[in-house]
Amino acid sequence: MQAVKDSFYMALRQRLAQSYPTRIMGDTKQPALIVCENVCEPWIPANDAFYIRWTSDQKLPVDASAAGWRALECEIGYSTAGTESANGEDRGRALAELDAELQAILAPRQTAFLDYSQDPPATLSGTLLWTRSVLNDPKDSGGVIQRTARLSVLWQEAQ
Amino acid sequence: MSLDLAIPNQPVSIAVHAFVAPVNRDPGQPTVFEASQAASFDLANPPAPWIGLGPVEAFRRTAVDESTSVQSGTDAAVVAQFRKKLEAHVSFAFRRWGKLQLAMATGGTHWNVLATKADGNVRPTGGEAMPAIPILSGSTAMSLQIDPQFAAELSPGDVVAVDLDYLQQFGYIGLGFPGAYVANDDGISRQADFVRRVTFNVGKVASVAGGTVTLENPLTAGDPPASSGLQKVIGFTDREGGAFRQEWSALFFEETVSGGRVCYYYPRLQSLPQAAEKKSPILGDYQAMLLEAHLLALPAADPQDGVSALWFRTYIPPKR
Repeated sequence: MQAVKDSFYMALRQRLAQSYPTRIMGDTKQPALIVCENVCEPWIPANDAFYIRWTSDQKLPVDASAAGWRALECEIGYSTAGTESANGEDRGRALAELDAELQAILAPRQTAFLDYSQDPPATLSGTLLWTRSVLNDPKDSGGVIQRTARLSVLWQEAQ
Repeated sequence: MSLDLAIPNQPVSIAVHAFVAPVNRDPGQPTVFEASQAASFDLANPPAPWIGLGPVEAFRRTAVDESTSVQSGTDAAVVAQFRKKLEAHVSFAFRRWGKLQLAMATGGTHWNVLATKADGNVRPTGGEAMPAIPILSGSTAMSLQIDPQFAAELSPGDVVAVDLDYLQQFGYIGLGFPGAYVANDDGISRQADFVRRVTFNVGKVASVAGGTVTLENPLTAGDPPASSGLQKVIGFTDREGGAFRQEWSALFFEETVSGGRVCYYYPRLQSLPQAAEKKSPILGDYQAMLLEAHLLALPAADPQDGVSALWFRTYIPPKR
């Protein structure tokens, strides 16, 4: 299970760093993609970054489960207040940019299945897949607009 | 005396696993499965010559027998019955795709698509192939000896076919499982690599070191003859047409978690020409592609009493 989470996160992190090198966390120069359960922070504590939250197991058809398929749901949240120069009135445009960046790093919907508990990571059997993301309605509060995307990560356990 | 109706004698199964072994086609001699082996048969590491095909889905055994009755007296009471036709079918679906699964799920000849020359002739089942690499003496089913000058042509992960050159012979051809039948009057001159195009003696390369090619699994026909050759296989193809039918000895084991062991032994199963695939939903737009197999059971004589039987079902009760 941890290898699933790690492989998904690392795939998106590498894609974000490669395609959108300016999308970083403040002065850290690290890609602005954080796994909530690792940093013990509240949901979406900062604007203009992506936050991954693992939620629950996804129930699959009996045939697929019997064949070793498993699925884990996750949410990816992000928010923006727009830019100061526009007095935040470009929040919608900034949110659309975040939407587009997320869709871009989620494609293709697959990555290698790797065990990151080792250095270098070991290749595991099979491929990690994920479903198309569903964008929830944005929420607007205190000048910040926030959105959550939902998807499920799929993998097949060795039988 | 009492019947054993204990609760533990209710088999509970979570899957069906398939295994195949060759049939010697000329005399129609199947691989014999001795029923007492059912108790200890290792589903993960089946004993030779049985080859595991993995779990199958939608496993279904169907009797297509026809019987008729003998009636007697003014009230036409049925006093006897006799069989008009002995016929049984088996159908199931493979989730895993491989040479044997594809061949079992098709009706006729199953072709290895050999690596081709750049400017060779083209054909739908594979064009003019790269020349075969001779197999040298000292080769085994797991470790093939070749001239080191050919080592650069192979790399780990490659699939290779190992068999003899075709010498215009007739009848069933291919080491191990027969891959095709050549009639003696068809007038077609086949290439030397024809046998390797249809052979089931294929393996995946694990490593290449000098002149030693190590395979991930042993070749299905065992140690290769020194006169055989090796050709790289790019993929597999099959087609609708032709009179040849694949034939297998097959075992199906219920993966029981309680209630004893159950297995079905089919001495001779022939593929029926209804190759098809079906899709099984996983999640979202992901659908697993399954190979559908339809097979016809053929009879084999039981030496115990000479009865021609299509299949045998064995039940091994639990000890407690």
